[in-house]
Amino acid sequence: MAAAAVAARSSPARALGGPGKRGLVAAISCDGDPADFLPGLDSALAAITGLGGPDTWRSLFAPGDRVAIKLNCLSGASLSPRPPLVDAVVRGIRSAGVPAGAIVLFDRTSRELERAGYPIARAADAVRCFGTDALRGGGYETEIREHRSIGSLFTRILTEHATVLVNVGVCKDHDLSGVSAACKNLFGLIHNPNRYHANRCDPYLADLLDHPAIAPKLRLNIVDAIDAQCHGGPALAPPYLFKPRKILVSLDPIAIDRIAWEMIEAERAARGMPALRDDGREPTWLATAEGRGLGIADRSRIAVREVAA
Amino acid sequence: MDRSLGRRGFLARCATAAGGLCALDPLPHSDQLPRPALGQGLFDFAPAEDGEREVSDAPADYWDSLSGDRAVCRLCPRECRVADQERGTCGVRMNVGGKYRTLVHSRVCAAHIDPVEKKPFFHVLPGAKAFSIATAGCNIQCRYCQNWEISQFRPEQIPSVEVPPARVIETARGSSCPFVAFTYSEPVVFWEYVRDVADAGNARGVRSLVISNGYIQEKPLRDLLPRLSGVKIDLKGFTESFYRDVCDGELKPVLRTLEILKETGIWFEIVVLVVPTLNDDEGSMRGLCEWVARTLGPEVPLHFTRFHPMYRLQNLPSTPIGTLERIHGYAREAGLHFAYVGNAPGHPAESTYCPGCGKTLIKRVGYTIMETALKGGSCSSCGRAIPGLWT
Repeated sequence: MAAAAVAARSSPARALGGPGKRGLVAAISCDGDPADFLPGLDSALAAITGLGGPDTWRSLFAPGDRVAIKLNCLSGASLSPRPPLVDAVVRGIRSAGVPAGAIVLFDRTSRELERAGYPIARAADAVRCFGTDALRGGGYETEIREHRSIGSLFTRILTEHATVLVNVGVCKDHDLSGVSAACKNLFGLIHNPNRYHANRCDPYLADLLDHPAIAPKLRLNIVDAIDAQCHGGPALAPPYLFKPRKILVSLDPIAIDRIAWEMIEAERAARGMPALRDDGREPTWLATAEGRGLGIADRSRIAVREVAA
Repeated sequence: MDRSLGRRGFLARCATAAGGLCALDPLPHSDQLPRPALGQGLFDFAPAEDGEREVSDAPADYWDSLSGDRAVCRLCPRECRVADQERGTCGVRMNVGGKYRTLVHSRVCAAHIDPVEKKPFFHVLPGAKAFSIATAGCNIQCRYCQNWEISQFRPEQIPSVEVPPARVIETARGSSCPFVAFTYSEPVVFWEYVRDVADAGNARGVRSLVISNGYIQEKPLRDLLPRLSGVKIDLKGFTESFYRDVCDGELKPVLRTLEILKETGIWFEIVVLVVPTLNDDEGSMRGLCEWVARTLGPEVPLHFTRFHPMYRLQNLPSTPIGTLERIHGYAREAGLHFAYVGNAPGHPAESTYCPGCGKTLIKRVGYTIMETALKGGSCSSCGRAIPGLWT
């Protein structure tokens, strides 16, 4: 095959982990912030893909991909994905041949990104970083996309730029959905998330995950759980911060959120706090999503592979 | 809202419509700027002149503190429980560090000078002009919303201009508008701004009209009504299932609002947008008409207006005129004296007829008043008093 053809190759669409990859979550143990997160990410991807070496990243990304990395920066610098972690994710994606100019870090607003430690970058030949709000016209599409209970405008970063979506969230309690880790971060892709907070976000989170604008593009989920929050979310609530010292990595957005939920519940139990169910905030949308075939929420069917940083 | 205009064009038209009297700064016609196609590695960033996308930071009323910096909103029946940094369903009221704030006070996203007939008010000073304004946001979500481009957005997602209450009144007076109308989106969610503009207007002889879904709690409603001259309520349907499934709202609180309007004596009219197959069945429409006649009385104007495909309801046809006429007939059979057909320019049921002698009192074609036969609020022929706000 000609080199040019190889360079233009895009990785095939994989919906939500693909066959045989569901229910696998890698947990990178981080006693402190490692000097470089990439070796741990390499190990994590090897654990969940069954591959090793250069093939791990290449199994997920290809030179022709345009990658949008959705960060969750709502809670500011203290509880957003760490920039060194995201830097390692970018280097991993680039190791698969994706050019820097094809990678965008984004969240709802540039202001949120800056507050979380991500300088705005717009140069076309480098990794870019900006909020949806930086785009002309507000940054959202103009036509509603309907799917099940969802009727929303999507960020044009996802619909007009990205062929691949990487989801990088944090591990925190959420006052309405119970847990905000991977799936809840996806609310930042639409213009009207406030419309979908009823009934503990069930079935809205499942329906959004299943949306044709998202499902075919969602390639990888990462949750920064070196620090986490067991109550008072989604905003930063320092009394409820704790330190799981983990980075979770999975192709399955439901399984990774199920493990994040488990971490939050363990900390709540250790503090003598009620379980989310008893607090009226059980994340029932996880079971709804599993029922729709979007991933594994049943803990007994999820395997966690511990790897070193 | 003029559907031929985008929301930015709509705003920009404000300045044109009001001529030199409208002091609002026109927003840029960003839709008219050349746009490079988005593609690989090519982004289309907002230039500095792409209009303001700012929000206000003013104290909100009607909320209570909950534990852990949470708040519960008491403005509408939804009673959103809102964590720090989160918003209610309306998207325009936000918990900031345990304090509830409104993000839309004085942030006008649509402004226009309309005849009161466009609201529609058919028993309010025929042909009078209303300086009509809106902010972003709504507390329900009708799947057929005609103004979803402002009602279903957060304030920072659409351009707006800062228009303090005094400037609204100054603009209305300068444009010979005896009324300010809060319309297009949902005034309930910008309650504090409505209050402040209404107060400013009452001090300077400009009256306020509210066009609302009526989905509001009793306390803020009762606090607001003494400041207003008229209210139009969009009664979406007459079943809880329609409200729940099509509008993401509730019927019962809206009926309570109508009862309070009747009780307080403020002038009000009711509009029902008739959506084919969803709220046009004989049982619910007869029930609605009979409830209005029985509870609010036969003198309340009741408008049945025509649906056109919009927003998330694109798969239904426009309402057949025959359907409107059928339901108009139910209203007459229920004993209502002032039933109308709307969004059907030229239809005879757009006009007002005297219940006493049948004389045409106000002949309308669309929003245009062709002739009037009212004399001091009474029929010029038989002298029957006609309810309304005629002076």
